[in-house]
Amino acid sequence: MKTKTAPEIFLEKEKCLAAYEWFKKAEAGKSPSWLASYRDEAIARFRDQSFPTVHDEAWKYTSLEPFAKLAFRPVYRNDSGRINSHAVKNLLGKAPGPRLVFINGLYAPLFSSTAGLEGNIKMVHLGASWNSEGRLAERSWFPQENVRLEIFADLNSAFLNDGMMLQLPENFLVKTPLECVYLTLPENQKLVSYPRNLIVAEPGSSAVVVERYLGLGGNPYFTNAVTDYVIREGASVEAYRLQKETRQACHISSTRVSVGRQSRFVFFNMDFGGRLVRNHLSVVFSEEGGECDLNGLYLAGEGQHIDNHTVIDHLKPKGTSRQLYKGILGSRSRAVFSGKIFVRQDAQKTDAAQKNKNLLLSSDARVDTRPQLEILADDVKCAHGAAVGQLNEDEIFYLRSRGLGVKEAKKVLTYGFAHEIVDKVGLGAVKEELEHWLEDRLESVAHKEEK
Amino acid sequence: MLEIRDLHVKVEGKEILTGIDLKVNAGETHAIMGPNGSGKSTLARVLAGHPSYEVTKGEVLYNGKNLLELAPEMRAREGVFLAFQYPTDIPGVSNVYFLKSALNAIRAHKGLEEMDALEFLDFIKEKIKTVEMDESFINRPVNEGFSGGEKKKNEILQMAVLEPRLSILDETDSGLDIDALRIVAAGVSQLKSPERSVILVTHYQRLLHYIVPDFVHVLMGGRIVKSGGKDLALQLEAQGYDWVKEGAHRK
Repeated sequence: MKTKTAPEIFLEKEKCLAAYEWFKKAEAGKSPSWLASYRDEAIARFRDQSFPTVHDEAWKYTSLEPFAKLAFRPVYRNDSGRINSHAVKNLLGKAPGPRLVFINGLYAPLFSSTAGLEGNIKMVHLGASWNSEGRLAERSWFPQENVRLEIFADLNSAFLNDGMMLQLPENFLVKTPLECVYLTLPENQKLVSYPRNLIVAEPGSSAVVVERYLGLGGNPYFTNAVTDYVIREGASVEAYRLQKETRQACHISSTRVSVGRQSRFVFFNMDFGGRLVRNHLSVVFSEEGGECDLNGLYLAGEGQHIDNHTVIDHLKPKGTSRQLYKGILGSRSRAVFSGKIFVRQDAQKTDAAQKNKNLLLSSDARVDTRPQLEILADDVKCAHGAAVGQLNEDEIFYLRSRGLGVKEAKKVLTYGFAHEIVDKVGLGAVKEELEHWLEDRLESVAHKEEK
Repeated sequence: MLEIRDLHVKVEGKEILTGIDLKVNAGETHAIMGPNGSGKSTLARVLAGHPSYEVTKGEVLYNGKNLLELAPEMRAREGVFLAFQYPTDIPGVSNVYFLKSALNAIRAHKGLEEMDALEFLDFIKEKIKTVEMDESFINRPVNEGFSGGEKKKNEILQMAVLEPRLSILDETDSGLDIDALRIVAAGVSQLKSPERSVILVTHYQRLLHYIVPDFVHVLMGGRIVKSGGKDLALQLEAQGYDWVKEGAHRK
């Protein structure tokens, strides 16, 4: 990189465009030409849009205001000595299997390992693979861009620099979970990173994929992540997205899934961290058959705002989609759920069910939930619903009558509410981890309510 | 063990209990009978500390302590147990987790060490045999999807695990078939000891064939209008409640 450091980025269009010019110059000659034009096209789309405000329908309940004036700096070189601290080591632990770690958006070989990678699985970091694997990225990415114009995804594409590329070979059933971790360490400055993942499950393949988003340190930072899943015919992917950023973080993500013929996508989106979180999920049934099972759990405590926008698009017949998102909201927290299901004219025999349930633990918590169906086909089975409730007094009394204190009773019931999702988690290690997270967070959320 | 003096209770502004006097000594079994709407369940729930009832007059002493001042969980930790007429479902919380938390809360109160997961599992597997429930119920969410009879047996299982000093059974017999009734009765009988007392709230005499009470009380219009020995229950079964009512009016 040039001697000058990269310019700071605000949530201001002009600043972003200026930063892009700098980035483009710095990258000149280093990237293959397709990537350069890919970035150029992304910034062109970006230029035609504006950062959303609460006056935009899709952002009505989520304001970027708290982060709008903050200057974030991208990192183009990590100081490996500094990141090798005990705190980082403790946080990352030992790799349970093949794992790629990115710190401040850059590949961190020290913490990564692809030992034990089965068969011919391709699991590489993009930064080193543009020349060898560029074709796969090129082939897999471009169709996805049509899914939805999303300004943050375009920004991610424009500044695309590193991330994980995963290709599961045809008819190969991967046993070990494959993991990527994005850790941000905003020690002395406010940082921005653009995590990017591409997972291609070739026909008949199967795997479990885990994405983690973590942070350490007291400064605000901005994670703008994009993950694309291409699930080809007959393939099956179980994907976990575990978001546990610091409470100073702004986390915005786009997950775009293409569900192929008779393929299966199971998704768990777990939001425990972040101050301002906005997740976009788009699942497109572009071929006949196929199924998805989307599960979400968000737990917002004091000052947290967690927004999930999901779109399930049935373009072709005989697709099955299931969605259950559950939220727990503590004192002075806010959540948004907007779930849209499209059943297009051609998508006969679609079977879609969507549910969003929210538990408010405090009278000053707020949730806005909007499940929406748009059906153009006539022979379909669709159901959707939303619920917002509080803990049930009879249930609390029942537990108290057996000796549990009020706080413990509330904790147990809240845990029970979350368990509908946790119980579905197939990966033992993740399930155990989630139980710990819940235990930990419910303790503090319940504690707040005692006062 | 328990002494209720002139207890008046309101719910939603309406007076349901209009002056209850009752004394239960350690080791005794009392049956409280009465027609529907007489206030039997209200009495049971007030003793357990249900928050929707307002005590307007009177007092309840439990082992010398003012029971009404204790939070529901403190009553439970001090050994009061209510078997609910309509046990509540607790979705997502397994029986084993629930019971372990409850038992450990009570043990902590008594200054005893917590029971760990493995120890507790052995313990509950023994207990569940006594109510003739399948072991699979241990891991099922509390009462969720249980049949009426299974819920009642689950209440008795909880009672067996928590070993209360004062057990109050609120119409535990209603809706049970003969087998379930026998199991419930056996569960209660097993717990009987000179230190433990039982209050059976029931509409019918049926349960009293299996658990023979020392005293039978008739509750009507929010008051105990007649008390007697176990024969009173037989008389009630043969003649209904009307004669008591007439007798009470004449008094």
